[in-house]
Amino acid sequence: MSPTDWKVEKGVTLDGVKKQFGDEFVSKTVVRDCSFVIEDGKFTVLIGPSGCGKTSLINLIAGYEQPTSGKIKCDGKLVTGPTRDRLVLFQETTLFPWMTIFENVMYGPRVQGRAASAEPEVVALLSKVGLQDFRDKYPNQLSGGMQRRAELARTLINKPRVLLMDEPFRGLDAMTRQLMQEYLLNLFEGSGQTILFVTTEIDEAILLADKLVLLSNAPASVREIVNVELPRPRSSKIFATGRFAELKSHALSILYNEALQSFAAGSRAAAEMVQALETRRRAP
Amino acid sequence: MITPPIPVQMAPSGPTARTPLRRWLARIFTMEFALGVLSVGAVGLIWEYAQPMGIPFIENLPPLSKIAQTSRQLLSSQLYWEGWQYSLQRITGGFLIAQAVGIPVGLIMAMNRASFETLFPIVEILRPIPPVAWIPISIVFWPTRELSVLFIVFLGAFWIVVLNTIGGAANIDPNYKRAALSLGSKPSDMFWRIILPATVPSIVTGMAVGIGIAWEMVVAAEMVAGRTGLGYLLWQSFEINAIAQCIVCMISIGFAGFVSSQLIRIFGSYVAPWQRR
Repeated sequence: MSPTDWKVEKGVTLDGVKKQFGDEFVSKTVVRDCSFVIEDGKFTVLIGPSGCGKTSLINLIAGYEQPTSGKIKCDGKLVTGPTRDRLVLFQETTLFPWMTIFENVMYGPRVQGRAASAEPEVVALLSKVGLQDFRDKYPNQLSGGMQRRAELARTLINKPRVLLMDEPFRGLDAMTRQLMQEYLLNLFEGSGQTILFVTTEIDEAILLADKLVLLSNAPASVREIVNVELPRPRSSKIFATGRFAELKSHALSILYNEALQSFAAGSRAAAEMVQALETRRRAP
Repeated sequence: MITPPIPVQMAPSGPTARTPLRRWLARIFTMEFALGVLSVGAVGLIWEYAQPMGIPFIENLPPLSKIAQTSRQLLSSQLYWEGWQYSLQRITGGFLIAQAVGIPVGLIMAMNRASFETLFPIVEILRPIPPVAWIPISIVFWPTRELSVLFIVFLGAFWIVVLNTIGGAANIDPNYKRAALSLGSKPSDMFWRIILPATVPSIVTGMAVGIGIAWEMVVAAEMVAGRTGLGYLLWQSFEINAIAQCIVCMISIGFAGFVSSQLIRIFGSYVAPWQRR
């Protein structure tokens, strides 16, 4: 028995993960040699240029797709398919439109056969996310921010080991987005929840992260891992600190180069990112 | 630059302070309403006085007053109500059988690749043939005229419900399925709680289109193969040159089609309450 066999690693480990689509004649690599650890109880943020393969990474970690080579392990067990250990909060809302908010949150417990025992918990969770008065509404009757919170509740009721958040605040207006960021910090700081958060927003990334994983232009690989040791609890006040500015300019310099490359490769999304970054640099 | 302050808009008072009755009347008697009344009224007047005025083509039609008189007679005849009864039976039967067969066939085709590859060629060969073109073969094939009319109605509603069910079930956002899978769904949960409800709106759309085609088919089939029903009565009236009676039958069928689509709409908002606006 080797020493690593009895020591179960906590968290999610990606080891030399590669994902290729297509066949032997035409193929496209979307993730290449990706290795990093989503540490237990920590907030890990993935950031990279648009279209670099972040969603593919989420799909691999969630188990919706299998890596072409390399290994993904969750708490030492090889990931072979989707389970409720690793739950995804998708980019677009995936609340089932045909179920009320209450039924949506109850979905997990119901199909897992523990509906009756989970009901008080669902009620408590709904009021925790501030949706107790909306439990009998359908998702399309809720605002974007409320939908995100309902989806968060649907995920949290299953107590996932790892919460995978794939650009969850994309498409929300700036104000709602900021509120949701603060809400997320409130909810998870000190909770010990393991989270992987994917974003293209550098401010959001630093605000939330314990560890920042900077991704390269497509195919995605790890460019650098930055530890964000800013004190917690955090709020948007950290934007004004010098350490934040240092971290941001460091991350931006790397991301800027990556975005330029994907811009050169003809990605429209990347072109937009380059433009956005330039505007931000010029701003005082 | 200094932006000018936004002028505060005051709600106009006085004329808007009305009684509920006046507000209700004001909502109904709008410009749109007046125009509608005007156009329908004009058509009615032209129709009524086409014969004395000698308006070409329209003068061949019996005047509106004659039609009103005929409809009074027809509405009190047993023949007319029997026509309704037969047509409604055929519509209900053919339409319901089409749903009962078409929805499961569509779902199976959408969820199982092998069954799709097997059935789709047959569907695509048979579907472009208009149901009316099936009437002669149908008469030969089915032992009774009643069954052949029922079959034509069935065909009218069948293809559209199959196609809509396939379309709805095949186009479910894959992230719904992924989320459901992660949350621990078994295959039966996937079907009953995800795929079926996600397909319901498309099925209802198929029904709404299907009921319209079903009415077209019942009229055509009754004209050719029937011995009863509104379509048969319509054709018989024409044969004996009772044009006013023809028109009353036409209006009746139009009314029946309208009521049927309203019923489907109500049914739709009942089975898919999340789509209510």
